[in-house]
Amino acid sequence: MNEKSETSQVVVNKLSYDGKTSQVFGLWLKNIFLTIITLGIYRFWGKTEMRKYLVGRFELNGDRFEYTGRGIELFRGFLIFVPFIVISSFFLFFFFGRDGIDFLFVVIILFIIPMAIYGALRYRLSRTTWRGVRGRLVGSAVKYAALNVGYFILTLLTFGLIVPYWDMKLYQYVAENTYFGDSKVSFNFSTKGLMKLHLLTLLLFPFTLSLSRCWYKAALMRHQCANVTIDGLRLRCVASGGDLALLKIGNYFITIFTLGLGASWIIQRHMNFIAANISVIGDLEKIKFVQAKGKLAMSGEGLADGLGVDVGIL
Amino acid sequence: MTHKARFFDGKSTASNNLDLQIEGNSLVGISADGKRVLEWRAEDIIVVHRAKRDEVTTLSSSSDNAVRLYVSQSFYQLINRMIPHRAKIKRRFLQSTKTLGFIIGALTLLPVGIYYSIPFLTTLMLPFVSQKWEQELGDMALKEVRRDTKVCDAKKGRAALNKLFSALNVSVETPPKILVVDEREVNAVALPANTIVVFNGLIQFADSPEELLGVLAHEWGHVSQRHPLKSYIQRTGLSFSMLVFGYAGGFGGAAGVTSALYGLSYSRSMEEEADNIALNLLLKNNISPEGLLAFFKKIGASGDMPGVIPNYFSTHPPSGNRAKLIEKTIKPQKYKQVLTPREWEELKLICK
Repeated sequence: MNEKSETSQVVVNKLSYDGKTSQVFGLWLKNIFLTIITLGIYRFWGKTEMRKYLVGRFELNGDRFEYTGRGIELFRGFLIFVPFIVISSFFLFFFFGRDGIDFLFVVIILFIIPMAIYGALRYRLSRTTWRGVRGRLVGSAVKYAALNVGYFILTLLTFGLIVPYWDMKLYQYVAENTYFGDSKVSFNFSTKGLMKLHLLTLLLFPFTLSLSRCWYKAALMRHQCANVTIDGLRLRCVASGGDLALLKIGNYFITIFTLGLGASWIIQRHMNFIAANISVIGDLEKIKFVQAKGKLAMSGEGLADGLGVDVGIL
Repeated sequence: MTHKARFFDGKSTASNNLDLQIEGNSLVGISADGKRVLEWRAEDIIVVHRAKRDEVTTLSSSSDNAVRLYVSQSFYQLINRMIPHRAKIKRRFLQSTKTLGFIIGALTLLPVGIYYSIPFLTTLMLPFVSQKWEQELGDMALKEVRRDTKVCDAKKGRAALNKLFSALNVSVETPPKILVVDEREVNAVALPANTIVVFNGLIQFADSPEELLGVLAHEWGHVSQRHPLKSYIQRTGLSFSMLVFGYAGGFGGAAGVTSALYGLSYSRSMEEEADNIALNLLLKNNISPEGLLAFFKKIGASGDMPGVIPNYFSTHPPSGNRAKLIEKTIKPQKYKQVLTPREWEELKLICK
């Protein structure tokens, strides 16, 4: 009885996005132009401006998200990163000789990139607010990267069987270290139903030009969202494999036929895809998220920036 | 006249509905239960998001920039006139000049830092580079040189060349490998892993064995100091740094020019070092430096003949200066004969 009455009262808060393709295109063009004439330095401010726009066009329950990052913070992150990577690579390269190059490559792919992703995620969450309250990512980028390496090795040993575990475990690490204000996200780990889809789509992979994986990826997204809760709120994702495949195919053709000029159109498609598929279940008005205390880092994303890694939360 | 607005205090997501009023030079917000929740002086108001058309404008305060006040477009028009224009401009200008100064400072310091740290780092790591790797590098370079050219190895000529080099009396465990290639170019190069390549053009260009020996001594100077390896590391380090910069900063063409300039000044200091080693060796072994002097004078004279001595000047100190340096050391004395005329003739025929 109780359960039934609860489901009938469930509040579904759809995420909405109202960015305009023309405005994204304008921003994109302006950023490219200014980046070129400032020898690349404007990039950090351009990136920030674009994020401010995109994040600001998302709305949840009547209120917009806000990106509070600043260009100078990205620039500072870049300055911290550059000497570090130059000196360390320089040494690695020559200590290990030519074999070291391959080694370095593997290390970058398996360890440094996940580290960069985690760091960037941390920065971006801390700069994303809703109703004035910030997101937060705790945990360690090194641990996250180590987890990635561990699962990579396990995947090799099991001939790819364990991929759903890899995907879910990494997501779990991020989710369980994510806060909104001082409310912690909790995550229920399971790979239920993923295994079958993983094997099936893997089998069909060569016959579908890899598109079969869209069905696995979509299922993964739904599964990841479904297992997230925060202060009684839940996430819901309704993306289907078909939706994801259409998104990818569309983006592919846009890139080819516009010779890359359609980048802003692709951004728009991604944003609309997120908004169309994700909602927050639960009464947002009843729950009060409290801002966490503590200072914010002054710089961000140096590593991710240098490696050209871009991750999106919104 | 009051306006309704939603307010978030930056401490939680709880929404507060406020009645906004303008009192003199301040913006005041009163909650439903009559409390004055908000009192902002006009000059402290920050416009976080300026609305277009009929959207909501987001305001905050410089005294606490985590708070958010969502006001209607019409109300924003009203208070926009209140916010002192001059104060807004001044603050923004101050902020941007500081930022600009920081950026310019960083951009000038960073390349300079990298420029000076690369030779230092290279010297530091040189003792750790494995022989095997250097050998691989040397073999690679050698392959490049030998690819479309013949290696000259006429027996008598070879013997003469060995005798010539032995006049330098370099006492090392592994003497350098000296190769002669059948190329018309007037040149000699030092390669990683203790190797000197002499172009036949140089042997023909030399008017005396001392001239050739002077150049050999110079190349030996490079080889003994592991200059080829050093310059390889430096160049790779530079292009790598430039890659990071160029990629991250989009410097493009500028990176190429700077890299070339840097490379030039690095190699000049190595050339000077090799010159000094060569000169010392010649003097120590009682060999006339006049050969080397004549060589520099000759290449100096033919400097404006394109194609005769390609890629020699670009990375070397001006020949005139080098000649002067050598002239100072010449004394009227009897020097030892390094090769007999007959051996010198045989050396000239090494590629025949």
